[in-house]
Order: sequence, then structure tokens, then C-alpha cells
Amino acid sequence: MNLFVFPRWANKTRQIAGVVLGVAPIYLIALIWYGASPKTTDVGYQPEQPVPYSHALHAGQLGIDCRYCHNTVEDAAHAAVPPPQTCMNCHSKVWTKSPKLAPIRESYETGKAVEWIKVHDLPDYVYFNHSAHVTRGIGCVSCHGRVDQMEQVYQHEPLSMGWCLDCHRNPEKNLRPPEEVTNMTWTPPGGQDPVEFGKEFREKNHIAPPTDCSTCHR
Amino acid sequence: MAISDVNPFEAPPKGANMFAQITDNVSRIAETDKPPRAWYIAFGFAQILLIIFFSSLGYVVWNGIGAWGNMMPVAWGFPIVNFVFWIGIGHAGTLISAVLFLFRQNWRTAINRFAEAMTIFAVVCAGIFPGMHIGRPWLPYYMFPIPNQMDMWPQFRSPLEWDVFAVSTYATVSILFWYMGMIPDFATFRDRATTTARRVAYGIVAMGWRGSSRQWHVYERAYLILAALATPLVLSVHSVVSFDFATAQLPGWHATIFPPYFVAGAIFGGFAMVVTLAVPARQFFGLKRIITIRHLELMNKVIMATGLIVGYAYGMEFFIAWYSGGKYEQFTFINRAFGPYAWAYWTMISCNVILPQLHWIPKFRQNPWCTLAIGLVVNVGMWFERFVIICTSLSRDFLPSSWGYFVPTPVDLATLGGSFGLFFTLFLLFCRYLPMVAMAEVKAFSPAAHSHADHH
Amino acid sequence: MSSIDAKKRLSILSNAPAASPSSSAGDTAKPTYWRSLAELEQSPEFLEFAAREFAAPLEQEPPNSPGRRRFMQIMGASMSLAGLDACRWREDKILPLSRRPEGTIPGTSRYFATAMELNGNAVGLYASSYDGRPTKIEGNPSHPDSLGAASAYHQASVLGLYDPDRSDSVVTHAGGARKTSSWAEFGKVAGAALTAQRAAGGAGVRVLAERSSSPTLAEQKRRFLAAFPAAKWVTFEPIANDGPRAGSALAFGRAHRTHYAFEAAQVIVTLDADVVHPTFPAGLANARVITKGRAPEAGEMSRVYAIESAVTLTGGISDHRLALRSSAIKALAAYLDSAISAKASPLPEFGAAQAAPAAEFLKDAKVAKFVEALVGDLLANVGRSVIVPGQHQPAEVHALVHRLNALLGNVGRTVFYTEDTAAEATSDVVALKALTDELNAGTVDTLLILGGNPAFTAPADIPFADAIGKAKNSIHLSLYEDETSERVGWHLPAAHYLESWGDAQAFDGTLSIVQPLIAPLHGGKSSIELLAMLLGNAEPNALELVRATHPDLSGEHPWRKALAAGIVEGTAAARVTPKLNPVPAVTLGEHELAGLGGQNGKLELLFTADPKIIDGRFANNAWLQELPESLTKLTWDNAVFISPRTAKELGVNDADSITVSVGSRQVTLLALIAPGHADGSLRITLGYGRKSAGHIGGLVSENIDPVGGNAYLVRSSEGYEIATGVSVQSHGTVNYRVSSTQDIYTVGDIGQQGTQERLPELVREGTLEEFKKKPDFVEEIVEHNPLLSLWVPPVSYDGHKWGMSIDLNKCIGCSACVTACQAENNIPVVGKENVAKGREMLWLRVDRYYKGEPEDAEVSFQPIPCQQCENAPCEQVCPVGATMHSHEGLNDMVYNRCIGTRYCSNNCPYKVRRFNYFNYNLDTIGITPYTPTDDPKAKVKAMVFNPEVTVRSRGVMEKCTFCVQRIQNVKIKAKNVKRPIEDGEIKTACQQTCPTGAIVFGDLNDGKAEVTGLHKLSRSYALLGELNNRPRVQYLARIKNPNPALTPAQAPKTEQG
Repeated sequence: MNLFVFPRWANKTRQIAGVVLGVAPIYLIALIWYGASPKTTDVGYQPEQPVPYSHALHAGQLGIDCRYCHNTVEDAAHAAVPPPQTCMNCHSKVWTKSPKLAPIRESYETGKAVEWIKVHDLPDYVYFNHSAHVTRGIGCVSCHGRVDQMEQVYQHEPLSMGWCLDCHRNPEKNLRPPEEVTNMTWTPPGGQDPVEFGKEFREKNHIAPPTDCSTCHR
Repeated sequence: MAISDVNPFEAPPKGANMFAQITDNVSRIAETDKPPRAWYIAFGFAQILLIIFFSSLGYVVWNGIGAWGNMMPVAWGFPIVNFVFWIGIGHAGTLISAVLFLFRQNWRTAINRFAEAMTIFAVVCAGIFPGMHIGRPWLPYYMFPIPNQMDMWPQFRSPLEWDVFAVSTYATVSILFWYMGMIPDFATFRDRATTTARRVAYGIVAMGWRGSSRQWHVYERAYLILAALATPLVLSVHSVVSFDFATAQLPGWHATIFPPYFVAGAIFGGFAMVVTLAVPARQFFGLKRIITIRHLELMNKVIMATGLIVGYAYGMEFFIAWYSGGKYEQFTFINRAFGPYAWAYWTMISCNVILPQLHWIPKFRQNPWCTLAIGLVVNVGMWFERFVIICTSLSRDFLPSSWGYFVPTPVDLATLGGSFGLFFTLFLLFCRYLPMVAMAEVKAFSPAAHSHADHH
Repeated sequence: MSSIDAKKRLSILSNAPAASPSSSAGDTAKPTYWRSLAELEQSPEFLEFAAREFAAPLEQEPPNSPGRRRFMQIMGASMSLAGLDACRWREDKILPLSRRPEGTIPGTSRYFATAMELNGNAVGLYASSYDGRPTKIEGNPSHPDSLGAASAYHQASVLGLYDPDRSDSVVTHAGGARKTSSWAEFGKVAGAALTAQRAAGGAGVRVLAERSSSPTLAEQKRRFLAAFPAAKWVTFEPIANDGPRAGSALAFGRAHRTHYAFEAAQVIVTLDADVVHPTFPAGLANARVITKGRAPEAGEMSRVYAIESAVTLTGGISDHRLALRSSAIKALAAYLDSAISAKASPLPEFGAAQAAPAAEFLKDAKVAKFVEALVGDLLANVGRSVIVPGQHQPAEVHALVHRLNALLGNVGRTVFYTEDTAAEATSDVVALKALTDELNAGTVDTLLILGGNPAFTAPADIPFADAIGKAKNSIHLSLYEDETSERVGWHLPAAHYLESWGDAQAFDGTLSIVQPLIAPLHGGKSSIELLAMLLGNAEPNALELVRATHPDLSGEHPWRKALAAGIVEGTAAARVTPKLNPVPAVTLGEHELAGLGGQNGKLELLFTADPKIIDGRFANNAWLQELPESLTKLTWDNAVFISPRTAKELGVNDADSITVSVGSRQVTLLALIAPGHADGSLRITLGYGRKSAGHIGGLVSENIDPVGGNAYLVRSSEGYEIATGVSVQSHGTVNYRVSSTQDIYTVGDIGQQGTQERLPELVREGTLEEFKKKPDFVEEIVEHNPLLSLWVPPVSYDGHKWGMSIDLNKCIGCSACVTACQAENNIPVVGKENVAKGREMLWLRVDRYYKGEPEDAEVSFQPIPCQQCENAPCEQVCPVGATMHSHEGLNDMVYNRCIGTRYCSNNCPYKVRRFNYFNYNLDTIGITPYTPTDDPKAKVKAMVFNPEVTVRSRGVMEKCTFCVQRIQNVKIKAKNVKRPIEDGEIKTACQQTCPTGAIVFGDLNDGKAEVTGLHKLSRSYALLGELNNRPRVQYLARIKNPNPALTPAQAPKTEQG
């Protein structure tokens, strides 16, 4: 019986195996690293909302301040989504008949809530507090992106733990005077380098973002 | 008596010379299409245990580990006891293969192959427990240093984290070592193969071994290097495992004696398991010619020696507890020997210290069945050693208000018994399909090899 | 790792009802919880539910009422409509209110003052409202009976509010079978029945009500009796406390309430009275005042003598305790009277003193010595002492004690009286007996039962339960469909005190408005509303009724003031000094005079309210059932307490099953050997063994066994409080698991010995003399080598440095802190079996140790929260860094990182870590985010969760965090306006509810902080500090103030655990 059951090319298997075993892990790691990161999975999440409300129009063109609607942002954990009441302040006068606003009017009359869909959705075990950030001078734009240019709001940042920590470790690049937090296009006065400004600002205001577990997890 | 009852391996091996006979003696086990009924019975039994094992683990994963008896204060119960027990078993292999090899203990050749196999299977059993005993078994990868979106790393100060590396390293090296050793024998199987399937299968795992002197030269060198690499592991693995306890603050755990004490215990238990397996193996597979009484006796001597070390450690623990003057330490040991868990403690003492002394009697240690008996006894004793260390220490620590008493549940027992199912299933398959004895090495040290030595 | 994983983990881990501040009812809908109620929406139950819960009350809302309630309803409405099922991993909805009321910030808690009444006494409380959902109860500092404290059952009442077993519909048994009905239907039937009665002036109408202090209810009662002059109104409470009323009537001619000024007392003597227990009138306040007077730093401490049968909390803190049968107290009081009268030369109008009784027990050397020393101390402190009789002691004892206090010149100094205008002429039992006879005579046409559960709690010899059916119409208003509801024609769901307007008075008469925080979840009505309804008001409105009762609060300002303060200033009853009548010679029977101990057949049996479930009304409250009883640490059970010696004599072993026979009646129960219990005395707590309590407390109809044994079965109207001539028969150990959280007395000789050796180091104690001589004596109790570290601590605590101090001199072991912690931190209930296995989850436990000989053991308590070690053993060993050190010195426990190796618990010397061996929240949070529960009842249950704290799922470790959520919220608030945090601004849940202020939390970097000062005290020590863990919790050693005349007689210092 022939001892040599394996064809000649079988001698190549070693080299082939070598190459495969060398490349495969790198490829896999790269794939998972990119494919499974929140940057890929979460950024850009843009659900369909019950009311076609355009931030681009209201915040952008009309230049309504964020805090006109999200008025609890400076003194509560949560930046409240406004009650239809707030909408009706204007829309009882303008666009009173617009079908797009029907749900708002209905809610206003019946008291039945409009079911907005949450875009920036943190895990339940994460306790984020808007007031703590806004009053320290972290601009809305830093986490939410150019909302004033969004027809329909989408998630602009990964909102992953690493992303949070990055800023908690060096917040300079995101710091600005608290009165400027809602300014989407703010740049340091006199064309100063943002990081430089941030450093000084941080010194001045003793801003020390904690990175303890209990800062966000309880 | 049915045909299959006739053990096909009892017949003297075919072959003109001793080499041929050795080859035949070992190879025919894997080549026969009808192993003895004993094998089938054993395998069936192992299968039942295996099913129990996986179903009990499944039950635990689905319902939560409360299905086990773990409680407060005894948060570590059977699972960790089993883990340490199996890791301990997994010691003899590397010891025999590597350390004895470096010390040129030629008698090892007869037993090192399935000692190594046993090691690997024991490590497999052990490896399952740390993963399964955690509260959320779907998240063990938190213990591996993988880059992640949380910017979180494992906590490298934790002995459990050290375990991860110690055990995985040990497993890797053992497997390499085992496989390396088998290559020439795979080649033999390949060459003796009568069917293409076997030839291809063994051909692949033989990786084109031709037995040329150049290959032998490289092989010996690699084997030596691996042995050198593996040797420190024999000490490191169980030392690291012992750190789980030694570095803790708990009276009864917090002791510097643990690393040597654990290593000795591991070798003790490991050899006990080797003889436990060797005796039936040589019986049923007609390996008496290769695994001789001398081998058993030598192993029994190792058991006796390590057993004495372990016994010394037990005594020393008490001395240190008394000498330290630590109130809590002293209480722990008195409680261990005379408290609610005294029954476990004295089981351990009699199994590990008292009974092995029978080996002082030559007749006794030269008798395979006595050897087997002591082997089993020591295995039981070593399991209880881990139980005593973990459960008695935890059940009564500093504050009397938090004292408790651990009672295992049926699931605990199923998991423990089941793990043997996994072990024996793997081992029986090994016996059936792989070279159970390192033919090449045995030949190298067989009288035949030496009788011709001067002619070279 | 992808954040999808993260989401999975989060939800597996914390499918938290609103487990984040951003998840507010009105506003963002956070998973499960808000979605949960939404899923209710699909279910038919929900449609009713929502209709009942929110719509109905809205209609009742008068336009001028405070806006908050309306806000709550809208808020509720919107929250109930939150969310829909998930399409992504879990899509969350945001549901803004259509109109947000002024000043409400979604996702924040607000506190509202209210009051909870029990047995005619109200305790003022604050209830937190998280977006219209009450989640936490605290004491009201300005309320005289609370002083900021709340008891375990106050804390647990919020769980009762969301109890899924609560009755949710009107039920009628008219025509035999049980069928649900409606208020309207009931209105018709009841209306007809009563109009039929009007002619006869309501001769056939009987009302059986719980004792209540509510002026509005009194007003309704007046109107009702005006409308039905021939009707009778009967008050019945199983915990009747007739003694004080009858006793004061005997002594003063008219019933009076006795108030004690313990702060002015140097010698405090309790005769079978647990004055610091929350069930004692003003008990919470007493606890605060008494312990305040026992701070050794002040140089002078009051001295407490406790003479009692069972070990009480008061006995626990006492300096001297005499274990004596309750039935012997009368003779003792008589003896004290004779002895003191002899020396104190009483005023003539006091009348003759008692003759010294020829009591056997007084001949006992120990007793004689004790009494002699006591009398001496009393006479040495004339006007600065106080004697307090037990509530269950007979009238004569109370009368004698009034006389004694007068003799000792305590009246007007430490003892004050107010008239008890509400007191009934006859005792509850007599009244109930009469009613039962009338029922059996068939003269009762309509029986209206307002609250209570008389069918279960009636004395064994009064067949009230069977008599109910004799009335043509029987109506029962109660929170649950209980044993009584099953027997009546109409069961009506009652409104919880957090659901309806009302009013109530403190023991001293101070008025509180009972303010609801949420509209009735199950359409229940309060007694007030029901009476108004029966009086012809179709849509009664409790708020209007209450306001009508208090014209002086009619203005908006005084009304709002009353609501905000939780009390109405100056409404306390006027203090009077009634004239003391001569007390006739007391009759002393065989039992009163017998010696110590008592053989079988001559034993006494003491019935007391259960410290947790009182008379059984809280039997279905899982928090209370799982709360370890202070002394035995028993959970999910009651037992017969028996003294070690008597047990030996009777051949009863610990945890035996025994049958107790009182006359012909028997009950079989678990026996527990209670060190320090009086020989010859047995004690059973009432309220257990309920057959129709609910899925927690027992529901035989669904094969859920009753919890514990029913003591009412052997409690007959004679021997109502203390039965005598009791015999016991032991059945030996039966196959029965005792679920106590601490080893019952015996832990084996080795364990005993080990415990004895270490106890003095764990619970450090000394006497006032020792302390004065050597203020730092605690330092010397443990010697150890200098504590060195290999490296400098990795963290420099330059910001805050949180620490806690626990004063063992103040802790009375009442365990209110344990339940407060459970409520604050969403701690799950594990059930009897798992407690027996040692898997209880309570983050804070109160250790109990017995010291001295079992026969007269002293008890000491030690609360053990996480010690927040600076050098924490748990942190070193966690392989995944799930428990890490914060820069403020907290051991942060990160549930979402924990994989559950449990190594941290093994390495914790205090064993304060708790592990979720199962998913104890399965019914509320489901097993995975993809298998949410659909059970609407589970979703109502989920409403109790504190949204500021993650709800843990199975497989994770958890422990005390120093209420880090409270720390964070205050820190952020302060930082937002750039102000420092004031001391005391952050209170941990345990600290806030503690009746005695034994627990103090604060910033150790703040030199002026109270906790810093306490840590500096010479008697402050670190538990197991020799391990160099550097715990942030420190204990203040316990200092006793023994009477020099008695000290030598004190038990040798051998401790037992």
C-alpha cells in the first residue's frame, strides 16, 4: 500500500497555514474593533418622530435658544422635553391649522402625551446629569452635535463609556463660558486655541471632573 | 463467556524483536475494532455522568447559581473546591513529562503519555469551573485584557486574574508537550494503518513525520526546550492557585505556607490519579509488559513522599496558628478540627496522611490493586483538603454574627460527579484512539536499545 | 465591546423602573418601568385600572383644591401611557405632560408631609414623591411623636401601597357566591338598607370601627349617630391597651393619658413597658429623649431599670434588668407602693398605702436586692425619677404607678397628664362581646365594619366571625380581602393613607393633616368618605370633609401652613393635674404571688403586638416579614419565647415545636429559647398564622401556607393580655427550617468559646465610672502591632472624605434603619427558604449579642453597614474592578461591571456584601430585556422602586454605598451654584430614620462636621481595626451607668453570642 497518500502540494500546507494563522487574527480583531464599537453601531441613530419637528428650523433659522424648550437643563439631571403647552405658546397663533401639528394640538387638548422617541439613550445604570455639565461650561454641541442643522435629530457621538471618560480625563477641549453653552458655533475669543482657553478656564473655575465609578454608576 | 469478553490484548504482542513487540503492543489497542467489554461499560458510565454534568450546569446557568449550596458567608462552595481539585490532578503530567525528563528518570517513559493526557483532561475539567461558578457566566471575558469601549481593564491585583494567565499558560504548554510527544507515534500509526481514512487522519496529525535522523535531532532539541519551559509551570500554576487563598485576609487562608503546600498536594493528588488510571489501563489493554510493577512502585514512593510533605503542612498550619497568637487564626484551626466540619477534616487526615503510610510495606506497594485502592483514597482525601480549606475557613470568620454552615445541594453533587464524566469520557477516547504509551521513548530506553548500544 | 452588549447587560442587570434620574414619569420614559405601565395599557385590567386610578378622582377634584393632586393625576395619566414595545434593542419613549404645573421639575423628588395612624395614635411623616409616585417615607422632625424618625412599619407602608394583593374592587357575597360589584351598586343596596332603618332610628345599625384619632371621622361619627340615634358605634382593637385607660380612670376618676418627660428623669423604671418601641405611645420620641440623656460625655447619665418578662428594647438599653413574670408585676408595684409610702410620708388624700404583699418571688435574694436598690435610688431622686407601666398590664398596676409617681413627686416634673376625651367607657373586648351577642340575638340588621380584621383578631371565646353572617347586611371596608371580608355581604376596598385626605392626632393631641400623594390606585375609599356616602353624599370628597372639620384652617394660608409643616401648631391637648383618688387594696391571686419560675400548667403566657406586623395588619408586607426580629433575628415567622431554665425544666429544646395549651385551647408553634426571658413566662406575638392575608402572608385558598402560628387561637377574653395556668408540650425537633439571620443562641461549645473571646473586642463596653477614670479605655481592649502599610494609600482624600459614626450607647436595635435602607436602595426580598440558607440581601444588619449567663443575659446591638474601608480587602481581589475606591473614600460597587466571582465577599472581614444568587426581581424586571413581564400586578409592584438606584438582577454582588445617590445629588446641587455642602445636608437613609440619632454621617475633612467630632471622641473605635483595613465607620463604645449598690451582683463578664 502506498505510503504517500498525500499529494506533493501538501508540503505547501505549512506555508499556507502560516500565512492564514498570521493574518486571520489581525483581520478578526480589526473587524470586531470597528464593527462592534458604538461608533459604528450607535452613531447616526435617527428614529422617525411622531411630529416632524425640525430643530434646523427652530434652533437654526429662527434661532430659538435651546433652553426655551429644554428649560430644566440648568437645574435638573434631565433636560426636559417641552410639554405641548410650550409649542402652543407660538402655535396657537402661527400654523394653527397645520396637519403636522395635529398630534401636538391633540395632546394639548386631551392631556394624552405625545410619544417622542428617545434618541440619546444611555443605559439604565448610567446616571447622567445635564445640570452638572451645562453649569460647568460643556456646550450642548459637544455631545449632541449641530442640532441646529438637523432636520430630524440623530445621535452624533458614540456616548460610550470610553467617550465619556475621554472628556472627564481632559475636558479642556470642550470647555466654554457657561453663558455660551447653547451657542452652537462658539469659538474662543480672539481666535485663541480652544484647548488653551479650556486650560485657563479650567484653572479659573477649578473644574475637576471625577472619574470615580460612583460618578455615573449607583 | 461471550466472545467480546476475551480481552484481545492479553495475547503476547506479535513481532520479531522487542521494538516490534512494543510497537504492536501499543498500536493494536488503537487498531483493534473491538475493545474489551470493560471499555464499553466504562465509556457508557462516563457518558451518563457527562450528561448529568452538562444538564446540571445548564440548570445552574438558567436559574442562577443559587441552585448550588453557596451562601453567605460561604460564597465559594463546591465549584471552587472542584476547580482546585482538578487543577491539582493536572500536575503529575507535566511533572512526569518535564521534570522527570530533565532528571533523566527513564522509567517515566512508560507512563508519561497518559499522565500528560490526564493532565490536559484534568485542566479541561478545572477550566470549566471558574467560568461557570461566576454569577453571570455570560461575561467571563471581562477577565481578559481586551480593548473595549468602556476603557476598562481587568484588575491585575486580583489573584483570580493571575489564575486566568497561569492556567491558560499551563494548558497551552501541556497540550503542546503532549502533542509533540505523540508525533512519532502518530507516524507509526499512520504507517501501520490499514485503511485510507486512518492513514489520512493519522497522517495529518503526524505532520509528515518521516523519522529521519534530522527530524529526530530537531525533535529531541524541541522536546528538551519545551521540558525546560514546562518545568517552572509545575511550580507556578498551583502556587498561583494557592494565592487565591494565601493573599486573602481570611483566617485559615492567609498563610505563607500555601504555595509549597499546594504544589506538594497537587503532585500527591496527581500521582494518585495516575496510578488510579494506570492500574486498570495496564490490566485491560495488556500493557503489563510496558507498565511494570516497578513503575507502580516508583509512583507509590512519590505518593508516599509528597504525602508526608502534605502531612507536615497540616501540622505546620496548626503550629503557625498557635505561634502567631492571632485569636481568629487559632480559632479557625480549632474549629476546623473539632467544629461542625470536623468530619471533613478527619476524612482528609485519614485519607491523605494515615492510609498512604501502608506503602511502607513493600508487598503492599507492589500490589496493583492495593496501589489502586490507595490512589482512590488519596483522590478523595485531596478533594476534602480543598473542601476543608475553603468551607471551614469561610463558614466561621471574624464576626460571629455572620457565621453560617454550608450544605451542598443535589446540584452540587451532580456537578462534582459529572465532572468525572467529562474527564473519563476524554480519557477513554484517548485510550481508544491515541498512542497510550510513548512507543518511541519506551523503545529508546528498552533493554534492546541498550544491548545494541556498543555496536553504534 | 459593542454597546448593544452594554444595553443587554444594562437591562439584564438593571431593568430598573426609572433607574435613572432622566427617567421621570412625566418626562422621559425609561425602560421596563414606564414601558411596563404602558403594557398594562394593552391589558383590559389596565383600562379599568387607569379609568379608576386617574379619571374618577379627577372628576371629584374641586377647582379650588391645591394644584398638586391634579398634577399628580395628569402626571400619572401620562406615565401610565408611556412607551410601547421595543423594535431596536429597547426603544424608549419620552412622554411630556401636556401642561407642566408650575415649579415641577420632571425627574426630581419632592417631599410632602402626611401622617400615618396606628391604634389611635398618629406619627407625622414626610413622603417623597417622584413624579407623583410615593417611593420613600421619612419622619417629620416637627411632629412630637416622630422628631424626624420613622419606624420599620412606617418605612414599609409604601410597599403596602403598591401591594399587588390589595383589594381592587367592591365585592359582594350576597347570594352566596363571591362576585365583583361596583360602588354604585353598593350605594344602592346600602342606601336602601339604611333608609329602611331610619324609621327605627337605626336601632338595627351597628358600626364596628378601629380606634382612630381623626377629628373628621369623629365628626362623621357624630353625624351618623345623629341620623341614626338608636345605632351603636363599637371600637375594637386587638392591641387594646385598656390598662392605661381603665387604670387612669381608677386613679383619677376619669381616663387620662400619661406623658413622660424622660429628659428630666434621672432614674427611669419600666414595669414590663417597652417605652422606646415604636408601638408604645410616642415610642419613637421616647427613644430619642431617653438615649439623649445617656451620653457619657455629658458627665451625667440617667439610669434605666427594666423589670419585665420578655427582653424588650428598653431592657436592652437598661443599666439593670430584672427578669420577672408579667403577672408578678402587680405584686411588685404593690410592694413598691408600700415600701415608698413608708418612707415618703404621702399626703393624706392619697389614701392608705398598699400592704406589703406576701409574694414568694420577693423572697428571692436577687429580687430582694434589686428591689431594695431600686427603692433606694427612687427615694434618692425624688422628682427626678419616672415609673412607666406596660400597656398590657392591668388597671390596678397603672393606678398604683400613678400613685407612685405622685408619691415620688414626679407629677408635673417628669410625668404629665392630658384628658383622654376619646376613651370609651367599656373595654374593647366587652364591647365586642356585646355586639356579638346582639348579632347572635338577630337584633342587628346592618353591620358596618370600618377597617380592622375582627374575624381574625377577635378573642377566641367570642364567636364574632361566625356571628357576622347573622346581620342582614354586613359591610367591611379594608385594604385587603381578608378573613373578615370573606364573611361579609359587601367588601369595600379601602384607600391607603397615602391615597386619601384625612386627619389624625398624635398621642398628645397634636393635629396633623393626612395628605395623599397619589390618587387611589384601586378606587378605594377612606372611612370618612364611606360614612359620608352612607349619609347620602353620593360623591363624597375627603378633602372637603376634612377642611369642613377644621374651620380655623379654612383660610388658604393656615391650610397650606398646616400641610407644609405636617402639624397644626398649638393643637396639643392641655396638660392637667388630675386629683389622685385613693387606690383600693389590689387583689393578688396565686399567680401574682408565686415565686420565680413556674412549672408546667402554672406558666403565664404574654400576648404582645408583633414588633413588625403588629396585630397582623402588615402580614402581607414582605419587607416586614423579612426584617429580622430584634432579639431572635427571626424572619418570616413567630415563635414562643421561653427562658433557658424553664425550657430545661419543660424539656423543650431550641427550635422545638411545642403545643401551648390555655385552658381547652391549644396552638402549636416554634419554641425559641430567649436568653434573659423571665422563668415561668412564655411570650407569643400576635398577628401571624393568617389564612387570607395574601401571597406573602398566607393565602390558603391558593395553597400558600400561613406565615407563623396564630396566637389569637389561645387568646380569650379572660387572660386577654396575660394568660395564666398555661401548659406546654414539646414535640421535639420537627422537620422545620428556622429562618433567622443570626445563629440562634447555641452555636456549639467551640463557637460559644470563640465568640466569648472576641466579643469584648467587637462590642466594646464600659461603665460610667470606668469611662470617667479612663476616657480612652476602649483603646486598650485590643493590643496589636503598629499598623504599617507597604505603600502609601493610592488616594489622597483632599475633596470630601465621607465617614460614619455609630453610637452603640444610642442604638436600641429597633431595626428601622434596616427597612429604611431596603426602601431607599431597592433591596430585594428573598423569601424564607433563602433567608434560612443565609442569602438575605439586607445591606445593613443589626447584630445582636447576648452577654452574661443565659438566665439573665444582657443584650447588646451593633449595626453593621459596609465599613467603607480605606484599605479595602474587597477591592484588591475583584478580578474585573467592579468594586473600586473613590476619591472620597467610598468603596464604589459597580453592578454593571460585576460578574459575580464573590471573592470580595470572602475577603470582607465584616461580611457585609450581599449576592443575588437568583434573580430576586424576576417578577418585576423579567429575566432578560427581551422577556419583560406582562403581569400588571408586577408592574404596580415596580412602582415602589427608587429611580435613583439601579435595580440589580441575578449574579451580581451588592452592598451598602453610604447612599451614594443622595451624596451625588446634593453634591451636584451644591456645585451648580458653587456653594459648599453643609454638614447634615446629606443624610443616609439609615441615619435619617434612626429614632435615637445613633448613626451620624458626614465629611471627615470638615472640621466642624458632627461626625468628625464623634470620630475624635475617646470612646470611638474601629471594628477589627487591627486588620489595618482603616474602616470609615467607627463605633462609639457603649457606656452603662450601673447602680453601685448592684454592681457586684452583676453577672461575671462572660459573653455569649
